[in-house]
Amino acid sequence: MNNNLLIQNQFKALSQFSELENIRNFVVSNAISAGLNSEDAQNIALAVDEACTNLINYSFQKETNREIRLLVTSKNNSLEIDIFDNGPSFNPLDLPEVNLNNYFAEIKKGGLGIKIIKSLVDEIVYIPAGIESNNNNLKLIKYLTPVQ
Amino acid sequence: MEEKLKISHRLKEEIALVDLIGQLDAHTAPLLETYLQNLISDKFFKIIVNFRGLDYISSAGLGVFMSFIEEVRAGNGDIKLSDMPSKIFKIFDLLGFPLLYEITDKEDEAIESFLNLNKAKEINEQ
Repeated sequence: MNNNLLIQNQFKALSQFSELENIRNFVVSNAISAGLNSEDAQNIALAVDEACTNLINYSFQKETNREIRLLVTSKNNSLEIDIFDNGPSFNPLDLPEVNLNNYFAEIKKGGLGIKIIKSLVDEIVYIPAGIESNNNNLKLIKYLTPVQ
Repeated sequence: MEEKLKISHRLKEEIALVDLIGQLDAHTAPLLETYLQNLISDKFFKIIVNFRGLDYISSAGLGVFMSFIEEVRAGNGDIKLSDMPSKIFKIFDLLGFPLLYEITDKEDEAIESFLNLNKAKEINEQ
C-alpha cells in the first residue's frame, strides 16, 4: 500500500453565507466518490461549513467579495480537505472550548463551530499565511478506516 | 433563500408550534431569528419547534435557539424541540443541548408538558 495521491478537486467560492450550500454539496460528492458513506460525507461537509462560517464571520468580518478556495484530496486511506483564504490569520484551534456551565454566554464567541469540527474529523492542521504560501490553510483530515 | 428554509407556525392555545422545512445554516439562520423574534414580540413565550422537515443544521442554526431561550424562560415559557431526524439530533447531542432543552420524540409530548405546567400552576394558585 502506498499513499499516492488519487484524486484532487478544487472549488472556489465567495465569502458569502449563500455559498455554504454549494460548498457542502461539493464536499459531499467528493467524499462519496472517495469511498466515505453518506453519513460520514455529510459530517465532513458540516465540518467544512463550520470552518467557512467562522472564516466569513471572524476573518473576513462578513466582507462578501473575498475568496475561499477548497481543495479535496482523496488518498488511499484518507480524505483531506484544504481550506485556503487570504484574510488575516486566524487559527480556529485558538478559540476557547465551550464550557457547558457557561453555555449561554459562550455561544456568542463562536466556540460551537470548532467543537463540531473537532468531533467530526480525525485531524486538524492550521498553517497560517507566510509559511507555505500566501494563504492561510486549514486542513481537515478524515481517515477512511477508523483510527484506533 | 426562502426556498432553502421554509418556516411556518400553528397555534395550540397559547403555544406556537413552529415547523421548519429545509436547511438551517448561517445563510438561513437570520430568517428563523426574525421569525422567533416576531413570535416573542407577540407574547408567545411557549414555543415548540418541530424539526420533522429539516435536512440540515449547523452551529449557526443551533445558535438561534440559544439567543432566545433566556427571554422566553423569563416570560414563564420555554423553547421545546421535537420530531428531530436522528442526524439532526446527533448534532444537538454533540453540543450538549439535551441538558439545556427539552427534546421530545413527538410534538404531542412537548404540548403535554406545557399543558401540565399550566395545570400545576393553576393548582398552586388555588
